[in-house]
Amino acid sequence: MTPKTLARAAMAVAAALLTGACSTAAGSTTAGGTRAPAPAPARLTYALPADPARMVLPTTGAESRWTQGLDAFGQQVARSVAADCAREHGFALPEQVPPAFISYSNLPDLAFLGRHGFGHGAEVPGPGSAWSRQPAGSPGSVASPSPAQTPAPLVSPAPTESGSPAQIRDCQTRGSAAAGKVRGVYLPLQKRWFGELATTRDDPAAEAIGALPRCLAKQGYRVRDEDAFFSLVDSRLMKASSADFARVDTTLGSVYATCMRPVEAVREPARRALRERFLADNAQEIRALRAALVPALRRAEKEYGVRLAFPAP
Amino acid sequence: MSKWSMNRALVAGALVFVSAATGVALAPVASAAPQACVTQSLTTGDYESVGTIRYKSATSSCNDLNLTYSYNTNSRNYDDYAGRLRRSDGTWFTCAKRYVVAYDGYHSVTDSTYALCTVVSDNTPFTVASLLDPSDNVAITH
Repeated sequence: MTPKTLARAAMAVAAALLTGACSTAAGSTTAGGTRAPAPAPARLTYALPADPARMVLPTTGAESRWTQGLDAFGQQVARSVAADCAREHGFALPEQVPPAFISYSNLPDLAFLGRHGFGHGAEVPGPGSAWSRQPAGSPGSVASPSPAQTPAPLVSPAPTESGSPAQIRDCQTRGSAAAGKVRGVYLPLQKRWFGELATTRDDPAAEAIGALPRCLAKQGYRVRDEDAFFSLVDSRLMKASSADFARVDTTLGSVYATCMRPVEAVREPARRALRERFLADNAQEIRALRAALVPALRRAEKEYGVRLAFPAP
Repeated sequence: MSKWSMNRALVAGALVFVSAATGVALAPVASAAPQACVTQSLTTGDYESVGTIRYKSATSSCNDLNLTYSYNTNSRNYDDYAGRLRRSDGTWFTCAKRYVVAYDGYHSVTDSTYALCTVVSDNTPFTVASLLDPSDNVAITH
């Protein structure tokens, strides 16, 4: 909780410190006064890991990209089915918050954050990017999600009539049921795994986390802890103009990634050891998951016209 | 009590005073919340596409979106939650905290672990996404 007056004062101080200590901290202007080029956009990949269990039980930020893709896939399936249902009944669904690849505080993807920051990662493919409507490409290809490359949806225009609350609820329930069926293949194990992961956040990395403010200060960001840095990121990104957003974001992400590397160097081995135990303790379910997951996802792609995609740095 | 905790306690006291002085009518708040914060319940999205959209209070003295209550209505007693905001250019932004785990129950408004978004401008539309189960019941104090 940050009271408004204190927060504004703190941000003013932070801004002054940044201006004085690090004139390029915002990433918008170089020391020579020329404008830094905008960072390259994040991309998508469709490549799956050799072991499907890594998608469900991530131990690193890089592995969590698969987990983010699975999460977004469920959302896309739900929306696709709900939209088809509404179209069949001749009405349009209310506008929704767009799906997103959302990463995890407990599993910071430092390579991705370092290149793309917190707030302008890869975009979840739109409804026009369905599996059956993709341009030809290898399953493991990496593609930019540029709108120019996204083919137009091969469906009739959406109706403009509004549905009744009961109609909308019915279609959303259908979408939810379809997503639940897909997610049911892996979710019971993933839920247990995320419960285990929560135990590795602070211990054994307490000492490394304690050193974070000193590292951030050396980079020109004087904050008391990780949460305070997130606060600074939120503030700067919400205020950044559309033109500056990516540059500001990438600078902040790069600083965070630099200072979090010692923390993740401690946490990652601990998580890997935890996963080894988890795999052994749940061997039967893991075998079933490895056999069932990819076929279930491929079936869902074809049935619902949605393609499984993952953010790529 | 750390210096920071002490400052927070003083701030909490100051906020109660402000509320009493102005007589502003506020929604019920979690037990630990200063009176000057507004608390609203939401249903999380996203995979059922039913995430509630609320608007950052323009009248409260608080600045952040604090998760002060969470309840996973499904099988587990925890979930991961993330705050999302709509920027003035119309794009949706996931706050820097990203997904953070929370066990069912009340969470202190002064625990920055559960500040899903911080320094949020008045009237900004926001929603909460949940990772492991849809349609969780949560409360955001802001």
